Amino acid sequence: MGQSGSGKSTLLHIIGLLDKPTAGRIVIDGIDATSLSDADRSIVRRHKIGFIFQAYNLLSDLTVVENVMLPLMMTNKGASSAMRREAERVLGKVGLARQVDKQSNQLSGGQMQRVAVARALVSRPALVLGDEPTGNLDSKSSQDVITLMKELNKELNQTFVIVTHARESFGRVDRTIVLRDGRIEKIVE
Amino acid sequence: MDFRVILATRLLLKRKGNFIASITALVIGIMVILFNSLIFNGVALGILRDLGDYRFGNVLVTKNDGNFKNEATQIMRYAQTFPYVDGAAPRLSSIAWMNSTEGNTRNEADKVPVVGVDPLRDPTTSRLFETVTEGSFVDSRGEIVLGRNVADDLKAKVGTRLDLRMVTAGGEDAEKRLIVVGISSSPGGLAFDDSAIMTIEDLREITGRHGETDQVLIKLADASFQEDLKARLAEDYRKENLKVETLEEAGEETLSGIRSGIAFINLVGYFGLLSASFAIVTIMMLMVSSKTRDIGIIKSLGGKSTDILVIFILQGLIIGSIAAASGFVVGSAVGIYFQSIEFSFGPGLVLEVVYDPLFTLTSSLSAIPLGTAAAVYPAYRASRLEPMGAIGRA
Repeated sequence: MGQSGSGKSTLLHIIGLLDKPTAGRIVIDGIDATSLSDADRSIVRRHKIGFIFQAYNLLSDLTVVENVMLPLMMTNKGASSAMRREAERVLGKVGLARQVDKQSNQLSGGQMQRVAVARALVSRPALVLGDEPTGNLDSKSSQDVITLMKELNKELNQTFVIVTHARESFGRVDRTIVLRDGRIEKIVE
Repeated sequence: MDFRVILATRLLLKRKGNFIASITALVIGIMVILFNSLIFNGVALGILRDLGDYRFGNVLVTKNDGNFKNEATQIMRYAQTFPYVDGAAPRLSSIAWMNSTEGNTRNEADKVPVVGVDPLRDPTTSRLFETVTEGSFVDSRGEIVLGRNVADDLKAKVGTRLDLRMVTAGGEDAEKRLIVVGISSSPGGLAFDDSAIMTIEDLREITGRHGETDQVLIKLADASFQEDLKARLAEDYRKENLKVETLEEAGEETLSGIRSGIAFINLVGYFGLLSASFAIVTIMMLMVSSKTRDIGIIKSLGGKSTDILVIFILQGLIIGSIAAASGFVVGSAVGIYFQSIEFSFGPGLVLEVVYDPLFTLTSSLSAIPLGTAAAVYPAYRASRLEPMGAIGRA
């Protein structure tokens, strides 16, 4: 966490291999990702990382279930019907079992963020990165999404790295890293 | 189904305007080629048909040195031994100076080409007799049919008496008075609109070329036997120094200019198709711009640059394939329609439109590589986008 401009999002994008660091190294799961080619970085993202963006970033031309199926299709996990079942299962967990065939742009902000959470988790990545995942939501929807992420984190045993400037809303977390002007100010275990 | 196929299809179909515009651009390009081909080949084939009907028959036999003497009759008899030959007829050509007197006015026409025909044999071999729009075809000696333009020059009508002057084989002038029995006019003027038609016997007599023939026209029931008859004539009349030409060969001189025109028009059509592919490049660049954010999202989820490349090239392939199918359907419909009607521009030549499914198919299929190629640059541009840059820029 940290104030605006402290470098939270930049750090998250670097960890997620969406941006390249100007100095230093990125090691993910024992792999030095700093010198990987673009194609290899894509493969690491595809298999090991799930993203939840503040602006949801769903593909508006796809339905809800297709958005969630996309990471599975990219990793080619099973037959199309099996992927759809898995996507529907995860959408059920985030409370969107009845919205699967809707166009993603027909949902409310809270529902879209739930779809984004389902999409980030469906391929069971080792690392889930959330960039202000509740930044665009009202307090009720924010609380729902936070609760959901915590439940899934506990259930699926994945590492969640969440960037926020509103630490309080997350309640108890395993570790808090506070950034200030691009540097770590303190780490709270 | 592969996610790239799904994304290519969805991203394309959700931008229906761009999608339809791209396909329309290619279909218009295809139609320009097909329409040009239908019309201009129709003109060429129409001319060839009329040349065959009026001037050459399916096979034209002449001599490389001078005119036939009596062997023309022998050649006609020989030709008619083949079951696929409908008829054979002799013709003789010359030039005449003509004048007619109407009251105190004397009308003249100089150097008018004159063709002598056999009134009994010619109708079995050519449709020249059908070009007579007033009066009747020559039936017996002393009669003449004037081409429309010659009749206008001489202010002659059916029943007008004409004085002809021709040069004999010996170089002397010979004169004869003939009666106009008909006026001939043909679509496109491909028959003898600028000439006159009389009996071959009259022409032989006036010019002193007794028994001579300069052309033997042979009409076939089935034109596909042209080459067969040509080969047999060449073989069996080796010593006669014959020049045997199929209709296409005889009409080559007339058609060569038209064929060059067709080649040029086809080239224009292909440039049109190329322009259509540039339109697709522009439309797809717009699609890439409007989909920058989606490209960033796909990349952030693990989509590789090659995946983005494939998605957009697939879109070009889809556009090209649908344009090819549409072009084939529309082109076939237009081709079959024009083939089924007697199409002409005004009262001129009736086009011999032939729907060619293979040409329609190959022209239509050219849209596939063009559509795909047109997508390569936009696809490359899309694939080079950085994920966060793309998401942030949108």
